[in-house]
Amino acid sequence: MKKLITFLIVSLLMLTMVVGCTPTPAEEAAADVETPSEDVAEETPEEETEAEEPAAETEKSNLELSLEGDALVGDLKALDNQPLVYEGFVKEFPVRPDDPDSLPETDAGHYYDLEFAGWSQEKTNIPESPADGSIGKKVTMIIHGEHAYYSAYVRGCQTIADIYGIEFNVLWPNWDLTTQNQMIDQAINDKPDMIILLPLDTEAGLIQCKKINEAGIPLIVAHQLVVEEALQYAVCWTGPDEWAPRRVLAEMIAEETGGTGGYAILTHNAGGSTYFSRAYGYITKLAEIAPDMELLDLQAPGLDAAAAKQVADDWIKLYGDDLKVIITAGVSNQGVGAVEAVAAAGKEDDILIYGAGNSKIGNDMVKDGSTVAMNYEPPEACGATALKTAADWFNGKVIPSAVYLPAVVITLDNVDDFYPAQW
Amino acid sequence: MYKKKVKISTLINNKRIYIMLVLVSIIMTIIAPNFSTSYNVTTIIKSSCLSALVAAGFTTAMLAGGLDLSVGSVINLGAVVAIYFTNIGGIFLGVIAAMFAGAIVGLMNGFIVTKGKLHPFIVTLGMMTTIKGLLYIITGSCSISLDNFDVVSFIEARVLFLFTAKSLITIAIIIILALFLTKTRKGRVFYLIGGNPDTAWYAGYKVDRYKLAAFGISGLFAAIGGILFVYSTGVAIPNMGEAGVSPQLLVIASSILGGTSMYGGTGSVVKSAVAALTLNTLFSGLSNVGAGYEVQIFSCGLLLAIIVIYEAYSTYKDDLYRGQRKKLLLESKNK
Repeated sequence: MKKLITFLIVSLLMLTMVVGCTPTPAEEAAADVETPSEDVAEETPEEETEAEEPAAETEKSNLELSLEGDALVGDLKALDNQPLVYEGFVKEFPVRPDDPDSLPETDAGHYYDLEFAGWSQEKTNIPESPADGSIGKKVTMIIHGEHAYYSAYVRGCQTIADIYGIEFNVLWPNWDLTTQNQMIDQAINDKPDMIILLPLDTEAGLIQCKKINEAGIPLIVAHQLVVEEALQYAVCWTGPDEWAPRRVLAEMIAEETGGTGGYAILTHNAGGSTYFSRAYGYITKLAEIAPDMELLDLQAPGLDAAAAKQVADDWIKLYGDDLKVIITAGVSNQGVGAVEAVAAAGKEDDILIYGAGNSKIGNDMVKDGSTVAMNYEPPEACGATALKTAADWFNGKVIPSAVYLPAVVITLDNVDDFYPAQW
Repeated sequence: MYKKKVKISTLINNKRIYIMLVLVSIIMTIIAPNFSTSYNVTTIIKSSCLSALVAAGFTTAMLAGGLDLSVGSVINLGAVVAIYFTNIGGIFLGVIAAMFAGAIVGLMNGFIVTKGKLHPFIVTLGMMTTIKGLLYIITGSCSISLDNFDVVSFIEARVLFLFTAKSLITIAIIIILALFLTKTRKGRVFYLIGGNPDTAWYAGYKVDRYKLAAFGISGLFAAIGGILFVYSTGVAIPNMGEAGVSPQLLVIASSILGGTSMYGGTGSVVKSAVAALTLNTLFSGLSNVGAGYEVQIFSCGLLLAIIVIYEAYSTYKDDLYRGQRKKLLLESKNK
């Protein structure tokens, strides 16, 4: 009997390994989904090379073939018919305060090193671009976790990877820092041509970036900002402008409320850079333009509708008529909870809700008026920008320290332009 | 001289964790690309440190007939306290403060279990939740980081062959605990009180005191695990492992896989540590063949389930034949 059980254990170990070889649901989703740019992607330089192999081999180098992809990306559209790659957008960088930490927490300068992380950082041990073309290069992305947003993000990445002939691989650590650290080790062990890291934690990003840098692998940090020192180890940072849209929304809030009343914020998960941007982006701007508005509370209950509803319920009971505005970090989860809480209290006309991230749920909530406005944060474009930057680096182009997406705000006036939503 | 005849199946069972480690390593070397590189082996060893250390302490509590479900939270507590005090007064203060915090929590568990006559499952589950909440309050749900990352460079650096400083520290601590438990009279009492507390009491040993110490060791080792983890990442978070493969699950699985009896009195801290290494080897191999974290959780749970069923079956068989002559029993069945 014991022998049989030992044999069974070994057999099941083997079975586990076989199961392990099958792609994860998220990978399948990313692979199966039809992108709007599929027809363009089909005509990748790689496949063109195969079709015209004898002529291309003698006439065009890998770099020349890779650069042909540049002509295709400008026309690419995301699922919502917005541009997939925002080329030429440049964010302005103000002068860094002498000592940001000494400024009050309500001063935007206090967060300078978070908002403009890496822009003025001296780079350390960054590998030279091979400048020999992107085709055939292996890029490993270590993302946050399985979520509709990140499925769309990977879709954007894959579209660009197909165009530039990049072999693209994604590791999903399920929002767990320990798992992400293990995956970084795994990625280093695989020796890809580049790693794109979406750090789960602003502070932990420093050690993560340093480790990849010391392994001699070029690194792009994407989507989440990390502490300033971390970006000395990265070729660049790419992602949405996390702070500017909050300021635009803060201006709208000040205008709508007449610059008076209380507001409460449900911010993003603790640890990430979005925890700060989706709270202090509003707080600093409102302190500047509407000093009479009072921050009643700031909480991070996670991206969960039920938890957000509970918190919003408590706020409505606790602050009563003083509460004029609820700001959420995610319209499709926290936003839903906030809207439900306000509706349950019958305060739809008294409390204004603003949010971030335009999922279909968010678009619908702006359209039905339950949410006043939210920022446009396109996952496909975010992912595409990261991969486009990687391709540019392989193709020998000069890469700026930070590549941003522009700040766009969605209101009732323009929400129809963002259908169908990307996730 | 009488030589006890050992059946092969018994030998395999006794050495199962070593056999599994070898088997997993061989299979993964064959099927997983880049598995057997020195970088990957170093990574596997250092990734195993946390669960190996904590499993050693956890096993001590189980040997003494206890159960400590609070180890996951105590790891995070140790990590947070270590960072907080390191930033204030340096590494020495950080290490001492974190070890003290872990030991205190462990002793509190032991005190409530022994003096309150409560089941350790309930007590340590309550402690786990309490500490988790406390950590969220202390950290404001945010991560906290070291002011100076020099210690990270030291602890993560390879200092001997495939071993980093963290790996060597872990191995040394586990060996010390193993020697204490197996080679000293006081250490062996932990086995006795877990296997048969009444006999231990009749023999004049203070059972409660040993149980208290076992929980203290469990808390202490969980805190040391947290310290080493935090000195290798530079960051402590209040909810480590909640989303991925939980260190707590790994620790429990390692102890059971390593042959620690759920009823106390049997087990080995070295085998538990080797089990932690085996699980991390399996995970690394699975990752190398493209499996995600979910397959790691699945494989860990699957192994755990099989071993638990096997242990339950073994206990059932032992109970069935205890005090009887197996051969005569079989003869009577055949009649």
